[in-house]
Amino acid sequence: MKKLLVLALVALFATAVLAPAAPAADKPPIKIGFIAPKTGNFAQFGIDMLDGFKLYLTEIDYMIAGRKVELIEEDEGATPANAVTKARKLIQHDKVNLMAGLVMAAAAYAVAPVAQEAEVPLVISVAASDDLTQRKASKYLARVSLTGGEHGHVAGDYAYRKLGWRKVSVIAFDYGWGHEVAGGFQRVFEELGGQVIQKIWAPVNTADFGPYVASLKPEADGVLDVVTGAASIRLIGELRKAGVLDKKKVLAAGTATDETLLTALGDSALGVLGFLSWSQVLDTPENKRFVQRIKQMTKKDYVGFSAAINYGAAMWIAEAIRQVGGDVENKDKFFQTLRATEIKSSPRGPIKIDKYGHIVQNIYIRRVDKVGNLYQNTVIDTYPSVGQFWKYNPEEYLKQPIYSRDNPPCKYC
Amino acid sequence: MEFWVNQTFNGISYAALLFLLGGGLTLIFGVMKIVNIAHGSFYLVGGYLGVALFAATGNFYLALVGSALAVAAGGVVLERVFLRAVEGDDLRQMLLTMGIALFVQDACLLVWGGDPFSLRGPAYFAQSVKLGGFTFPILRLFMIAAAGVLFVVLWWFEEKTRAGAMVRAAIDNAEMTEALGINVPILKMAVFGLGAFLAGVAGVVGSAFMGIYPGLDFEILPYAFVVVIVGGMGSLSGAFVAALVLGLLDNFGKALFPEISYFTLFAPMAIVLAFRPTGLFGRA
Repeated sequence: MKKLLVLALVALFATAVLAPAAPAADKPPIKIGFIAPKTGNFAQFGIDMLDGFKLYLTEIDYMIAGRKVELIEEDEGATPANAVTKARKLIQHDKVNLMAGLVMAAAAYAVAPVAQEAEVPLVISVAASDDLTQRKASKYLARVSLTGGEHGHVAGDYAYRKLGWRKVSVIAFDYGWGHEVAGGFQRVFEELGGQVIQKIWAPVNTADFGPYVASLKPEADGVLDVVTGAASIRLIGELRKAGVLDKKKVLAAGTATDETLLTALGDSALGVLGFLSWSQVLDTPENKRFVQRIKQMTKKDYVGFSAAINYGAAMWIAEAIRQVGGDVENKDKFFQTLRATEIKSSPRGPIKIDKYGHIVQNIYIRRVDKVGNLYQNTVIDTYPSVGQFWKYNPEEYLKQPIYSRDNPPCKYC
Repeated sequence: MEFWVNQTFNGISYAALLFLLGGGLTLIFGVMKIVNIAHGSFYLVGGYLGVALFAATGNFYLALVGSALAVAAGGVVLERVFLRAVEGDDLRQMLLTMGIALFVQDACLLVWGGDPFSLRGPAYFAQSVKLGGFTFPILRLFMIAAAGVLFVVLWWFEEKTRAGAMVRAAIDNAEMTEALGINVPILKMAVFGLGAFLAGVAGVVGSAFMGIYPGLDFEILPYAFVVVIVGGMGSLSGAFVAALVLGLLDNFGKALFPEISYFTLFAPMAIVLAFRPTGLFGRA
């Protein structure tokens, strides 16, 4: 009798301990589809994104809330149509529980309705176009990267208040990112009392920035540079050689001095200021740890922004899955939890999501310096918890048209 | 005054780059009558090799010559092994060069990764010469000198030497030239190599000026085509004049009317094509 009682107690105890884990272990793996470019001009971008995303999954052993995680990678390619095909494949064939990734704005706009229709959460981890989470926000979409507008707002504030600029020349790429950063900058800068006296829209395939640099107005206090990728090497090189950087400061939109460009930029970029929601030398324990781990993985001195923000994206997704106890099949609850999830200590600082689905994060003012043999983006100022609407009321903000070539109009040109 | 001097100088140096891009393409077209889509790939490989050789030796001129020679050798092999096999079939030859271009694009991504490089070059490339109140960056002066020297040498070769006469003969009438006992296949191979050499030079000089990264191969191709089409396919002098005209037009167009940036290079091409379909110096 006594034996029986002990046995019963042991059995009870065992079930009590094992019960919560048992059903989860029986469940199939959580499937995450990841769409990023693996071929073509943005291939390195995609590789960096995956490096960051996978680093976090490796750290947690591909296990979240007792369930295995399966990552299915697809190539974004060079056209939105291709991205849509891959998204459909992930949804219908692989039956993924969540999709992440996407670099091109056009691809993100094209995939969003597909995700919406299938009710599969879509976490955009790079594409920056404002309207993805503004005028064209959709229910199943969340973005953990950045927007051009929000970065422009910060730059406008910093240029007026801290740099003391009153007149500015803008040279920007003639596409969404250029329009939105420049537009956000101009709105905030001019509302404070500054004047944008020149706006140059350079085609994205500009081979020689010589003619633009030579026609920058000398009376401007500084230059806002919204050129990205390899072209940034040409523009900053030209600004240096033509002597502009000796006379005035240049404020460059984040990725223009991305860590992956610093070697190629070399000494020409020294002293260039920038603004972005991360820096490789951001002095927090989480970031230091992340940088050290990813350097071990990639064997490179420099870590790209896309790797850092995708590590954060993976952290954030995993945290949401943990909070629903791994029950990602309950789509509504999972997505509500995703949007409500906050991470206090991602490599780029605290992150959370606003009610339109866009991230709220710190934006750092950075300066290109050389320390020893390596270049770095030294963090010289921080704008904490910046949202996509700056200090404006979201409803009123959204009534205005999106920033474009002619909005805001150039009143002082 | 400063504006005009600066912009003219910029325009001429950009023209130098355009000539380096288009010169090789026009040579190849003249003799072989094929549109070499892989021209951008020669440029790309030339640039990457230049960066690697410069990193290894620290000597820019060694990197320039070494890389260009390596690309030339690669061009000769491609011509001998692949293009010769489909000789006489223009369309297949062109598609073959397209295939080579796609292959090279991915091969470069595999070898050098996707992060952009920039060829630093000797220290004085980052400096400028000040002359009478005007500033002339040395890198741009070097581009002008390189294009100028190459043009003069090539012009002298084509116009004044026996081998050059053979090339001209092959451009005008390959069959007749062959009937005269000139080995046209060897000539074609050599010219293809020379065209690749020029693309390699352009790649090294270009990566000092614009950087080098995946996708640049197809990015520069239209620029090379514009020069060849405006100048007249197969004409070296045409490419030279076209590069100069386009470089200046593009530069002043962008500086004076930035809102028409998209048209400054290609509108002149459309106009030339409308009135002289064979280009400025081309022969039907």
